[in-house]
Amino acid sequence: MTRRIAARGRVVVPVLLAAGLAIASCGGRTTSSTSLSWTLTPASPAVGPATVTVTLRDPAGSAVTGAKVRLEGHMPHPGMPPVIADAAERTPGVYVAPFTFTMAGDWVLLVSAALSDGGRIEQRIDVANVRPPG
Amino acid sequence: MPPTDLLRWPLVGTLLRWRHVRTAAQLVLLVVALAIVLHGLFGRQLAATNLATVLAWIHYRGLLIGALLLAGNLFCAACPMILVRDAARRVHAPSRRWPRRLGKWVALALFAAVLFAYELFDIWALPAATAWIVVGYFAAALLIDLTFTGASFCKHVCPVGQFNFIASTLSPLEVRVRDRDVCRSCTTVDCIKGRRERRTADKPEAATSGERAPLVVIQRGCELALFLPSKVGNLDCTFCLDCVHACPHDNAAIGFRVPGDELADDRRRSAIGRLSRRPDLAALALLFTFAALLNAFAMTAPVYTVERALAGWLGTESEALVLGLLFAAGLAVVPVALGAAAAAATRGLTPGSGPSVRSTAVRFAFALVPFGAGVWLAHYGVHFLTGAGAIVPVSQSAAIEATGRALLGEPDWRGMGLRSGAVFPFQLGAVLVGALGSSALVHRIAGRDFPSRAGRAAAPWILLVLALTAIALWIIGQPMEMRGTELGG
Repeated sequence: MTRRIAARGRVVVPVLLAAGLAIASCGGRTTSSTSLSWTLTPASPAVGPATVTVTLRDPAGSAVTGAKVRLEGHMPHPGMPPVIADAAERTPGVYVAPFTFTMAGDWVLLVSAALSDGGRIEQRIDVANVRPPG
Repeated sequence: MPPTDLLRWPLVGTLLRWRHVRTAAQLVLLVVALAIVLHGLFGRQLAATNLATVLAWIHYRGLLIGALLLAGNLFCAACPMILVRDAARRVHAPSRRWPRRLGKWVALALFAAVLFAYELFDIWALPAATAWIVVGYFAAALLIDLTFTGASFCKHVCPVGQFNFIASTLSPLEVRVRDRDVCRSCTTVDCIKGRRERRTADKPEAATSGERAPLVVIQRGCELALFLPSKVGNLDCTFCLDCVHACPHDNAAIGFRVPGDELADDRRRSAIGRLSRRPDLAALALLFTFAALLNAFAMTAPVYTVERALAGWLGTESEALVLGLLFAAGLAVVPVALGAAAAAATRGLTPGSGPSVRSTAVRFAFALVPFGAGVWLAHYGVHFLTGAGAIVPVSQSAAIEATGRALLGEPDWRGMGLRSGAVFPFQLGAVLVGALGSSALVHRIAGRDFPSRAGRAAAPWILLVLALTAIALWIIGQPMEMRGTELGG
């Protein structure tokens, strides 16, 4: 039986590896040529409220309107609940999200935009050393 | 005869007796390990959204300590590295014997090194590094066990194995003999030697040529050299159930026992000897206990105050140096000094004949294990209880990452787990129950080794348990910090 398992393993393991590699290499989170830029206010935040402004432009430089823009703020340790914020479109192509840093330290903000044409764009923002409150 | 035997229970017993139960469990963990490696290496390098970091540092650790304290050493039993090793050993059989004089010291050094590297390199935040650690574990298991016979990697090298062995002394279940009289009349001792058969099917010409067919192992015995009739407790037992399957008399049982009782049992144990003569195992008990405190302390804000103070004092910005000193103090100098001081105080309070100060320290060190387990449970338990639900949005996120589409839906982070404030009573209970267990063991050991002055002998160790408990309560009372963000992060 062990021999049969080993023989099966010789087939299954490479197949799983190949499938994983294929999935990992062909996948992706950004499926649009739309550009995304952002600003964080204040630029050097402390624990408490901040604002993230996201601007979406198409390759011709025109505003991309009607997108659903979402922010996920993650902490370095896995298993910590992220801070989620949805952005509202204030002016055409400009989306503003209120965001609250709940802990001091490093943060990673994932900005994702689901475009009205079905495309998807995502960007990672590393925010280093959010200061303690006060 | 043991009052209960899980092997005789309906369903549970049938499952445990199934010859392939271990392989099935190992295959499950092998798939998990593959997921960790693939997503860790090729997925987005963000710990909170990567299966590698979430599965390894939230689920594996939480379930591991839970299984150890609620049942037994289930994760050693289901270790996928042994499945791969077994397959590799069909190609290359090891021939050397592990030098037993090394005891557990190599494994202890590796245990401390892994904890140190985890803090220094912020491994919890690094999916690729987590994946490489898993790959490294598999490689090390193969290297060691294709060189040395038996379960050398498990018994002498694996840091996780040592953690499991010492924590499993607190497990409510153990594998043991059902009826000692049956063992006394046994002549084959298959539980340790295993069973071999001559199989002409593997060499058909042997049947006609008169040549003897090769001996084939049809069921191995205990690879960790634990002879079931003289096995005491769970130390070094991987719960592999090889002895259960090997015993031709159906005389192995899985029974309930008093958790931790074996830590005060100084009978000679098969392949281990007496605990009082194993300073390496006492060191493992100390390392297990103090590492629990240090690992939890590293999650809090004051650790940065200590690191900055040390850095300023040394005039250095090297985190490796500062953390190295902190670990050397926390895992070696302080435990040894406190153990020596408590042992010296015990001998000072109990003049006359009795064990030496060193032997006293070795004997009482095992009493600290329940407290250490309580702190590990409070720490890993809080991550698990507050973050176990992350597996859902992380899987959803991984699906988007792999395909560009929300095949499992948009990541929904709402059901992560309990609020961190809600688990404080659990943490408090874990630490206090652990401290109570340690105090009870101190009294047991004092009564055993200093029967005429048990109270005096126990006093310094009770004080030590109280002091460590106060430290643990202070640590779990600290707000959790985002680690690795200062002193070079």
